[in-house]
Amino acid sequence: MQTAVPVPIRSEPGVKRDGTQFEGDNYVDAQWTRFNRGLPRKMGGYRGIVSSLLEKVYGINSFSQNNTQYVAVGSQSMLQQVQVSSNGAFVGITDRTPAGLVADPNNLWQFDVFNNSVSTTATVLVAHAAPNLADISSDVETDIWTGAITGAGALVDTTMDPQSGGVVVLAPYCVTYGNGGRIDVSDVNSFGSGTAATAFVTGQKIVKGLPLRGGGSGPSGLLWSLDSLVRMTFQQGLTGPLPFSFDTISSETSILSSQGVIEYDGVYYWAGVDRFLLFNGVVREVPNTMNQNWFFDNLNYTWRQKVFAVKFPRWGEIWWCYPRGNATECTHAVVLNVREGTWYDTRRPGSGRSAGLYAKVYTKPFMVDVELTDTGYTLWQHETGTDSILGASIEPIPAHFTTAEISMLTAQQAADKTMRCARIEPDFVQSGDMTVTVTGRANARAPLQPGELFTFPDASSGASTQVVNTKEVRRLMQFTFATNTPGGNFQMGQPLAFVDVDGGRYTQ
Amino acid sequence: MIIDPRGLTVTQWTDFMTQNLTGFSQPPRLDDPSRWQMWALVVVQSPRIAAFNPPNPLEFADWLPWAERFNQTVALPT
Repeated sequence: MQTAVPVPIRSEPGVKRDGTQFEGDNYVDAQWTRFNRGLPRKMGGYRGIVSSLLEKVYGINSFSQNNTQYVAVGSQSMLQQVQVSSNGAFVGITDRTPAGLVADPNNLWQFDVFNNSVSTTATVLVAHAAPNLADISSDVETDIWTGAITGAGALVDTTMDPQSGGVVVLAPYCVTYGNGGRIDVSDVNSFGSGTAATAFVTGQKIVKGLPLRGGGSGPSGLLWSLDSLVRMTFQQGLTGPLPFSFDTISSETSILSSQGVIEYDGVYYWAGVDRFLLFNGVVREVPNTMNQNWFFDNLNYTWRQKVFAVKFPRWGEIWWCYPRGNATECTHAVVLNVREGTWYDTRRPGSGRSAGLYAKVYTKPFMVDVELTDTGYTLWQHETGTDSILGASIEPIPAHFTTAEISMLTAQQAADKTMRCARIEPDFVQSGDMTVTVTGRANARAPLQPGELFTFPDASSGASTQVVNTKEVRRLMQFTFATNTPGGNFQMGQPLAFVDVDGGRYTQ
Repeated sequence: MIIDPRGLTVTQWTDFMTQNLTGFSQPPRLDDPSRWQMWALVVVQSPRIAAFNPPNPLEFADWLPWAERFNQTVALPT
């Protein structure tokens, strides 16, 4: 028998779902695992702030003032506002449902923040709810609501004309959009005239708008219609109530969900109906050789409008949460790591999430559960600790990752031989017990054969717990590391496997 | 607004610049990095850009020094 040689247990960052497992160099499976500095680490935990949201939430906004986060959450017949202190404590919850809101199980909300007066600092929440959840092209037009953003009263009608798409603030203008490419613009810092100007800027319904840096000439915005991307730019010389010019950046684009658009460092990312796209001055496809088919082949297209994007800039991540298979809520997420330049994915906790938000001033992202507790739906604060904490209940969050297959077949000196793993020397920044399993198979068509599960503690108590001794033999070999203990956490370093060449059996 | 080209690829820089050049020039999307000089010629030959007397891209073998020189000479509105 030859002497075992050390082999680093390390694959390329990202989880490759498309294609076969044998053909790639990336990790092949992961759950609740992200990549940082090219290495896998467990994602953060989450803590329940309040579990008394009365309906599933489809639309969320956050505003910070005086050490309080005012989190507006919209649902089929309600607009609630949760107040959260700067240390994450629940302060209160207020019903701010507009009196004229038409309840609809498919109501989807859009929010923005506007300054409603040139003479005071009356910062207001602008809200729009329309039955767009089951149909992105719904033409039902509904009112635009407003109210003091830190207030407690019901929102009232802005008197702007009803719209079907939504609302965006391109300060100092409030812009609403909807059917037939119509946009309505308010007066400067005022709803005094209701809709001050109207224009039809593209053919199809506009479903999403976001502010854009304007190159110095004033407010600008991007408008996503069902089939095009339009830029609106303030023009100093234009007179009249509509001082904007419009240019179509692309008339052959698509958008999967009005909630699936997000800005990250001045670049706009969104999911189209069949690929991921970005705008950084021009429209480009986001390269994705890892899970594009896995996403689009398994998305429950009936509920495409439930797909929402949320970012975690701390980790360079953009998440697209989506209903997978027959699921009707967002049970899974694919993750673009802009910083690492790779993709991976995860199952969402529990039954899933219906809305999420990177809160900017507040350091932790907010997410809303789809699971009904005894008291209501839960608003979660993510990236907090390592576990799922709801009241007195502390549950570990299982996390694992599996490496690409290594074999003698693709080694530098290729040989038609199996490999025997004699020993594993784990290297992790670790809390709580972890496990490792050597798995693999005889050839690319053979079923996976998981090996024995070995546990290694976070602190070794002697020689026997410093390394993992195995005797697993595989022709194609993988390693799965996992954690599932309260307080469990890991960041991978440079674990080693000591392998030697074994027999030549190529089937099982 | 000046887009510092350092640390960017030529396609990233030209993408960002396309937005900045709105109203001054309408260059096409650059997909092949080796054709950066063609992209740059479209820009420098636009009348409102040419008025700044921008550097001639054909005199530069690499896009980065040309881009830095372009930023020094062409004052887009900030």
